Amino acid sequence: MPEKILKVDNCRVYYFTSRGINKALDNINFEIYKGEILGIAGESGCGKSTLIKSLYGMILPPLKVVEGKILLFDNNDTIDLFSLSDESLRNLRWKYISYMPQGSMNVMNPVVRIEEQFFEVLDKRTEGTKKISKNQAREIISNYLRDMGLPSPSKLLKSYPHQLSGGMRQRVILAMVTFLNPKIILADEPTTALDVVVQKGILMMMKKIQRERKNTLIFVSHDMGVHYQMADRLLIMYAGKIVELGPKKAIFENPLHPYTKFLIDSLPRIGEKEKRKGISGEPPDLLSPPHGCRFHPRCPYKKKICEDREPKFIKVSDDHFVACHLFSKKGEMNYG
Amino acid sequence: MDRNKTSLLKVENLTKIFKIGGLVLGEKLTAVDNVSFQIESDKPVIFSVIGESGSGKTTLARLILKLIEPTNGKIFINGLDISRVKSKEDFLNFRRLVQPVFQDPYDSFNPMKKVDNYLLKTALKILKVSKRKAFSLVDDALKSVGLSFEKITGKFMNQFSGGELQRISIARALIPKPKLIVADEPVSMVDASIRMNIMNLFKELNINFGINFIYITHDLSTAYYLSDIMAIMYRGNIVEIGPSSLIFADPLHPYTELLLKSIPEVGKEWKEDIKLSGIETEEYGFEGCKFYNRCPYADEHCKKSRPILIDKGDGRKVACFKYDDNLSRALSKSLK
Amino acid sequence: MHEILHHLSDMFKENIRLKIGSIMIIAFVLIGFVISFFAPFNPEKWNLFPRDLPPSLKHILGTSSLGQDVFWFLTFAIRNSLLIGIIVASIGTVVGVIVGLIAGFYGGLVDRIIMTLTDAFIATPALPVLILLGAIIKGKSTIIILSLIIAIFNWAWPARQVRAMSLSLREMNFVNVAKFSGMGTMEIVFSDIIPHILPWAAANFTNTVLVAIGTEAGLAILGLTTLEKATLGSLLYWSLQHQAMFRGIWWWIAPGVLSIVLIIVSLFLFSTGLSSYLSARRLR
Repeated sequence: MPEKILKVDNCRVYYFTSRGINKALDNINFEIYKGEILGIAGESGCGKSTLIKSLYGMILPPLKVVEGKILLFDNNDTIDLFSLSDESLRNLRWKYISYMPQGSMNVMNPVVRIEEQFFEVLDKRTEGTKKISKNQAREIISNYLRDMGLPSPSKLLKSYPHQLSGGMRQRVILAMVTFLNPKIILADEPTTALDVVVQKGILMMMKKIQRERKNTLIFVSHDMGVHYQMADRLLIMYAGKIVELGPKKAIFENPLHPYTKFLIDSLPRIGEKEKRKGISGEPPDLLSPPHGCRFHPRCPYKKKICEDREPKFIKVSDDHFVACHLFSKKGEMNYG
Repeated sequence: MDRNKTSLLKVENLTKIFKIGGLVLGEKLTAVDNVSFQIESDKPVIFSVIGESGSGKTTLARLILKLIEPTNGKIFINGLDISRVKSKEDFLNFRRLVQPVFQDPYDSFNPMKKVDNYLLKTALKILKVSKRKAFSLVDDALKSVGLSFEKITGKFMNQFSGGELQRISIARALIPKPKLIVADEPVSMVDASIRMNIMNLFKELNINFGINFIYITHDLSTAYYLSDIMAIMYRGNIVEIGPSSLIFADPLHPYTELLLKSIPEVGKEWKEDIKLSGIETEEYGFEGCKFYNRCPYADEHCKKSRPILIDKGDGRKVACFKYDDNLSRALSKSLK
Repeated sequence: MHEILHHLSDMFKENIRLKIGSIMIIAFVLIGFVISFFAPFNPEKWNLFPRDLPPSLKHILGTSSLGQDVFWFLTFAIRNSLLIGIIVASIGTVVGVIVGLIAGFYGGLVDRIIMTLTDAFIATPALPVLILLGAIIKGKSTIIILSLIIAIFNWAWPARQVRAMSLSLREMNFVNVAKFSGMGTMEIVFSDIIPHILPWAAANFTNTVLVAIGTEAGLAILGLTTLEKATLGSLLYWSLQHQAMFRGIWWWIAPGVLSIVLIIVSLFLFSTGLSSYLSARRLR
């Protein structure tokens, strides 16, 4: 049994908007293992970004935790992330858990040199120990960037974020995020706005770092192709709920939930030109999600029970979970 | 003009130069650089233009839609020289021939106007039909995208989902029964579960209504799924053009090869590392091949002169010295 | 209608600046346009009462060295100053929007001519020219003429802003879709461009009211405006002329100074509150 590093325990995190309550995360339960890459997949508005924010303890109004815990396991300690003060959260960030957002400009200050932004991260490491000179700091950072395979580090450090291309900025962020060697790295669609060639470069770089250092990478993407390249395990979300969780191989070869099945089947593949079927309808509005299974209005295998009762998140085989009425505890399925 | 009669689209020496910045210190950016090609077909086609950001693909689309004027060169659509479209009447005829679908459905409609207004106006003003006829044409168009006039009438943009809005915007473009629809990244902003429906809709409209499409995209897999013919653009030039099945089976240009290798595909895990280009804008000013500094096959000759599109005989054209037999012969001679 | 109310309640929710600003503005409008209406006599006339009486029940704010009732004079002054502000802001905003739209939408030579002109107006320092014009009028003009003069310097900046906005709006895809739906230029300007400029125009309007009231007061202190009319500026001018401050007739000078400060603060709160609401809405 792999060692767990994080546990999301019965989490409900809602947005309290003027139009009503958006149940972005509803009854979320799962564990994350030490040293794995967990892919989180789903469409816009399914709650995957809210999940990442919650894991980073970034709960800002109108977002509120209604119920549940996020537990971090460090050696023999167990910490509930939601119970931490702002101060202790700040101490945790960068060093223990770090976050890489979609738009690099969200964490970078456009009018501050890359160097200065790196110094701030370095300061967190050297907190409490003796101060080092700027030149020493520069040396440490350049060496790190060189190790990461970034071209001409000294020139890079002197530039401003806006002078770099989107891909280069994202690589610098990746370097910042991994600089203090955090145990957990959260990445929210880190390559979505980038070109395919650049995307590949950054993904390969992320994977290489993760494989070498064995930190835990939690990776959000809407692109199943990207998950295939990156993930060890995959978590599929739909309308604020987890619908399926399992090893990548199992998910791609034997998807259980009809929604997962559809996500994988609908991917156009090079070399196959036959028509791929779409799925009817649209994702629901989370202000008033459908009764029972939230996927039932679009599900081709819908049964009576799906409209009435919410499916439980059950273990079907060793490490494969699904929330669907088509499956019983023993993993027998009935697509009838 | 007889020789242009048969070709759907003919582009001759098309160049678009943008001035960036002020009058004195402004820079010039050649977004489309002396591009020539021709699309001929007996049956309606879907033509994809593929490129990364900065390739000039969107500029090409805007030139074809006459939203901007070229710096140099000509565009013929179905034999019509669009630089001659000047009077009100010309524009009406032009808009009966060509219609657009834009990337972001949320900025394709004014949030303060009712959405049905756009569709009715298209029927009334472009086709100059009676009110009664207009209603039935609008309803027909909406039905062909799986909606109806009843469902959309009186509503504003924010009352629709992204997928619905994109279908409405396709329905609007269908009303004049244009020969050509130019779709600029029409599915990049919609979710996976709806993307397939829109792709399939394009296919159906292409077959059932005989509408030609120009599909502008960065996404190779949807381009492969949709298109009969495709062009790959790099930094303002077309580097390869031809039947999509041929290009995907056996890419000729080194850039096409690189792109294909970078698709995150399910079933094929990435192995090798790739080189990322650091400073992108400099490549616009290259004297020789713009792909020179990223190309594994490049030599001194590629640095000095720019390759042109050469016919490969199988319906494909490629701009690379690798395939220029005369040149290689001349080179080998001069070496002796 | 319901939509509009919803928008308005949205606008004031959690926007303290907007709330306080609006309440203060409403108070001044009431004083200027409603209360002044009940004046029992013409407060602009001199020597209606004994001079320099301190505040009492008969004269709430006392009387001036010119024998005027300060309270009723103040209500007239607030009315006229607000009028000047409104006239200047209306002319400046309307002219600015029209000129800016023409420049932004027609482009080419028209645009270049208009932009040269607006640049010239923006670059010209307003104060010396206003002083010159004021000197020509020599304190004997009407509220309207004074407003027109101040307006000369308050259309060019909005014109520039509107031009920039219409240039970027023109590139929006909904304008392209409107074109491909067969809508004409005029229709596009009225239905796609102007509605998007209106919120900005409202903020600019309040700002210009503020600037105009300030400008009038400044010119009046120099003795260059309509001195026989009651304005906040002329109130200050006469009280300063009669050395009200040194002679301890605070009830003459303080209400004027306080009113100007409060009007400017309220308009400033309102316009910054409005802009922050609008930019927040754009981000959403």
